[in-house]
Amino acid sequence: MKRYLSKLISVSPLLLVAVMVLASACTPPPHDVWSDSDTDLLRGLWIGSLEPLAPNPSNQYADDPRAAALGKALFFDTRFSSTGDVACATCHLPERMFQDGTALGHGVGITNRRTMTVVGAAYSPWLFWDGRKDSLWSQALGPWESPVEHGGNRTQYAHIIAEHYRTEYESVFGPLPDLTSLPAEAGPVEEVQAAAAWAEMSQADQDAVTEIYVNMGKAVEAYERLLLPGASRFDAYVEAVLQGEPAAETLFTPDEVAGLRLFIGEANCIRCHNGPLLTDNDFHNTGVPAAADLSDDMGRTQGAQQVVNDEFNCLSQWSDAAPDDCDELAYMLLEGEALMRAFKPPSLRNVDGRGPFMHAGQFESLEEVLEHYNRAPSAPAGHSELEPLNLTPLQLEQLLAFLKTLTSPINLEAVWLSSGSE
Amino acid sequence: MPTFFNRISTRLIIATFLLSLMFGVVTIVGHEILFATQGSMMTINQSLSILHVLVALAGAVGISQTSEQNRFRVFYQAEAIQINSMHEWTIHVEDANGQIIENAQITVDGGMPQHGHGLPTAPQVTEYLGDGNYRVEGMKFQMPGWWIVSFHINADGVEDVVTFNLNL
Repeated sequence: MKRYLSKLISVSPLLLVAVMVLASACTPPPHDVWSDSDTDLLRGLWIGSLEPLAPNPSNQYADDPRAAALGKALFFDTRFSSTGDVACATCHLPERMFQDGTALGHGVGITNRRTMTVVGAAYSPWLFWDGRKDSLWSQALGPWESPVEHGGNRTQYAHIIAEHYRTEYESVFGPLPDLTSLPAEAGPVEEVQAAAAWAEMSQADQDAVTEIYVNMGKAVEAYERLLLPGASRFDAYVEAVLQGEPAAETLFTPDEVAGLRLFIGEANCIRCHNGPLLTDNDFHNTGVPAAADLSDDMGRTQGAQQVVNDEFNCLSQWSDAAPDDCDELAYMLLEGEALMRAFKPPSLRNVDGRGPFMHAGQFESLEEVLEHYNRAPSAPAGHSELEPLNLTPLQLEQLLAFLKTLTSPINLEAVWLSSGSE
Repeated sequence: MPTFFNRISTRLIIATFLLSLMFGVVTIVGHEILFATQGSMMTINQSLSILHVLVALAGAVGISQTSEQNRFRVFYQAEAIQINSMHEWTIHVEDANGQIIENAQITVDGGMPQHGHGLPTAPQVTEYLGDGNYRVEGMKFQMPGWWIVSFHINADGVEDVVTFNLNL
């Protein structure tokens, strides 16, 4: 017995070493093995999970290709402005993901908010940072009559349609009424003369003009519904992960994987930036600092009241929807602290290079944005949903690396992305 | 045999050897378990979530819940809940004896306890469908996680609250 024991004892250091070598040989799995629950989260962010656009009950022309062609022409036409040189495309530049790269919008005047990208906007039930419009067509009608954006009025525009777009308009919407007896300029706008002229028009005339205006918006919506993001490197990576391909490891660097893990985990980004467009299209107060030189911006608190009272909302006479089809409007939150200074998160697809960021362009770079989320300062009003993350500088870099993988071209033929000939 | 070994008890040496063997085995097996269940770092939030899955299982789709003061029993049925889609629920309300409750006044609220925010919409009970069944419209959950949904029921002056837990 003692002989065996002594042999065992003399060999045990070797055995110990062997066990430890074995333990270290079974190193952690490769850096991008995802648990089942994390894989589900990745699938939710993947562009392959994007459902086809549902029809819009409030716009019967939303999927009409002729309406889309007319809408594209209107989108690029600078005549629809008081100065003759502002079109939708002036601030929604196709080559910049349909936004302008400046803190505020510059039309005939200057807006008090950041121009939002139009790509993927068709999926949101609410438009603008504060959701004050509930459809793409009603959204388009805002800037056209805004004194700082296009600065025009709907009767002016109706005349332009009659003179330059009669055939295209009538093929979609039916015959135009006779506009010859109507003033050149009239509309429920700030500009005093146009407003006075509008007040003098009969209800029937006002409705005839408004109907043309509404149809312009509906045509633009049909065009904007085509603006969708294509697949990015992130989507290729997720697809490889979902199919269990070992090639997944070559598609993302270890830093990008680490950034993605933070995005769906510790950094809490996925709380609001979820779904295939990486936004929940709902309203959140993230303590964004007030912009100097601008008046207080209460975000959704104001936007909620505006959309309920909007001339062109889902329940209005201009909407094609049955009252039953307007659930978002019927069951929306109208009050409460949660709405104060709450804004809609834009889609993070193509976020890289799309600065400045936030509702008045408060942050120049993505680095500043991530710094803000990490620090989580309290909100100027209302209550910020953020908590300090205590991420290290390396982790912030990794998050940034991940965000850069969300870049992709717009999924549309080039002819749709520039003005064509009339 | 070296005299050094003579001084230390053989039992001690055997114990140390077995301990190091166990250490090696636990390291290997432990790593495998950790990575099978939790690919990313285990944060407090995530470990809480696991607890809440267990809680939520009790209130999962189609299951009933008793109200706080045991006055009512409520069953709910939801169309397949997708994150960020407006959808409807149907709830069935009975009293403690299993009698259906008809034409009650019911309001809905809820939220995410861990995030400190309420529901993103203002759902309403819009219709009494007969047989103790009520139609709840305007339900929406805009992010994954632990949600609670509460029904405040007033049936002829008898009031109580029922709360369901969901893990989405």
